Amino acid sequence: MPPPPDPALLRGMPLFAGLGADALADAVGLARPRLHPRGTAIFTQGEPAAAGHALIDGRVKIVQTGPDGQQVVMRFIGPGEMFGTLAIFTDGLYPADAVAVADCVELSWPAAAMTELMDRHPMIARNALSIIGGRLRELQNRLREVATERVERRIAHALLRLVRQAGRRVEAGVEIDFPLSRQDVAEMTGTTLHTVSRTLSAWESQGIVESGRQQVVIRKPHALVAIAEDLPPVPKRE
Amino acid sequence: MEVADMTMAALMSGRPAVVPVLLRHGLACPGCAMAPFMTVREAAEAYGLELGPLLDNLTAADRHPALSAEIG
Repeated sequence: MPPPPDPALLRGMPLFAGLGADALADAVGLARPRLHPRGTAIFTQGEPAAAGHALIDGRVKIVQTGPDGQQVVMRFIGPGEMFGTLAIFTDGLYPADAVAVADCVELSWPAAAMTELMDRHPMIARNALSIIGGRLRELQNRLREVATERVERRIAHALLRLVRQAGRRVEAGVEIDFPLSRQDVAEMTGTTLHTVSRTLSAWESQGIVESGRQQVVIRKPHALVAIAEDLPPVPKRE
Repeated sequence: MEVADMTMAALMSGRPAVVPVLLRHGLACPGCAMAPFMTVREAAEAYGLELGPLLDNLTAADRHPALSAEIG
């Protein structure tokens, strides 16, 4: 069952940061809670952007498909993050698919409700601007990486971005708490499945990462950072 | 908690004066995605640094923030 709309759901969400209890109640009052089972589409590329979205629980993958059918993973969305919201302020079409990669609970606000909320509580618009600014910066970094970096560094950077977003300390190291396939990593870094497999296998044999079918654990965090940032090798201690 | 067992992120946010010291030691921890997950002890090990002198410099910087840029 969808959760009852409780303003507490919005606490901790960057989109609603700094808002008072009244504003939160106003926002949650206009929200529609929905459940999306794992594997289903929340919205699809090219569909009219009917709403702004925020994830309460679960994981969402944002995937864009090019005219040639090639897919690119734009980003993963975790609990508390907004998604699909920009389209209501641009051309009114969702630019990518949003797929639930785990069972998801989301809130959405019809386009008119979202713009009205932003008019009534300008802090929401400022928060959205700051979120979009952060994502733009991330995309600029990715663009630079694709244009200038060896594929190995791009893969390392992609894993570090996922750690920043969804890292979790575990016994063996740092786990990326996402169902993440090698194909996903290929689509995030503009390379092929073959190259990702070859790279991850090499890192596995060096004990840097450990990857299951859907799970990645970074066993030597510093070694991965060193690859991503081209750090000098660690001098051997005597 | 002992400084050696704090995560790098907790150390840097609680005691910003240590940041220049980390950089002086060649540690890339400021801004690093792994900083919330790695302790000072683990970072020292990863960089092949002696823990003792690193801790001395970190605590010295924290006591005299203005001098932190000079230490290391």
